[in-house]
Amino acid sequence: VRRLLVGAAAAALLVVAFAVHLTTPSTEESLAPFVVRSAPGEWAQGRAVAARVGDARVAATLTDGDWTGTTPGVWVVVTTDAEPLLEPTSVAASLWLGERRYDASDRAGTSTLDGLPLSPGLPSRGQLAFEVPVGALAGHADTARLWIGARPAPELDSVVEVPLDLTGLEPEPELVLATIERTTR
Amino acid sequence: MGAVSSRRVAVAAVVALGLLVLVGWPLGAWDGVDREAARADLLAPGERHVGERYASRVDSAQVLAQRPGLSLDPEPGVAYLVVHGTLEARTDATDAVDRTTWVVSAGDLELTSADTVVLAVDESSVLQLQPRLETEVAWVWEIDEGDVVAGDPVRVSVVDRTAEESNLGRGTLWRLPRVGAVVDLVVS
Repeated sequence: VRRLLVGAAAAALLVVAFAVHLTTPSTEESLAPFVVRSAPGEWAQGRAVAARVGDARVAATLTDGDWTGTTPGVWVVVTTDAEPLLEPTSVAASLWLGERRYDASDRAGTSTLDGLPLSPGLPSRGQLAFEVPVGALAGHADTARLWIGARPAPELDSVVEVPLDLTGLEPEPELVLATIERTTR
Repeated sequence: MGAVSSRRVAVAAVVALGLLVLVGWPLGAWDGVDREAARADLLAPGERHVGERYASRVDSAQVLAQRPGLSLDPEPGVAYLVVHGTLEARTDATDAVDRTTWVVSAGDLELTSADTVVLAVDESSVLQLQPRLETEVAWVWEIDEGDVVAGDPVRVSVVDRTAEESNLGRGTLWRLPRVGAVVDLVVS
């Protein structure tokens, strides 16, 4: 009887070890940021960045006057206000379409909001540009989500998450990026 | 007493072996290795190769006197081997370009890490690849003038790697490099 009990205990421990192994969070899950949910048009505050998301547009070509960016997909351009809360930093932004994460494009350089360092106490308004495949946008236009945090990557930090409804947006042939300007909170 | 003890050891060994077999089976211990499947594909120019990290299409190669994306005059005696094609991230998040993914062999010359990878459309450097967005690119290697000239045959090898979660740091490590496909081109 004792041997049976020992055997059963060993088997149970093996099962528990397997369960622990299977349910251990991955590194990505362990380092995932804390999400502060907000709505379009509202200021939301994470630990390092406050942000407000405005309108979204879709374009085939993007330009700042000097640079012109074509894409095999489409550009999703989101007007955003942002302010660092602790120290000067640039914002890191990502657009989620389904389970895929599209980081803001660096192709427009300092003409997009994430290309410039921002300062605490001086909220700025600009645009974030995401280069995405046409099919990905069509498949997830009603469930898109925008993440805004601090650079380099908001791991174990907080991000402001705002749902975006991109349904029915027809791509404009060319969109001129607005100049980044100061705003208020 | 000795016989009983030996029998116990034998039973314990059989049980341990059985457990190993049971645990190893779902982990792939008995999977065969298909060497034929692991062999690199020989592709025609313009054919697509899909790896775990990138999908690639190698189209053409040319030698240029001027480096794409730079307006500065090149150093004397320098030329640029440029391989055109497409690259697409197969990951679920924006990825960087690993400049060792395409390797060129031209005679005795082996060109591993590209000096730069530029967008075909505006010759700006490609730093990000967006998931599943096939992008026209040009891979650029600086070479000595005359090392490769128009009409020379070159072989482009597309290097595949396997994702592995880092144990020491964070993020994904791309390990086990191996040639997944080769494309033979004639330099124009």
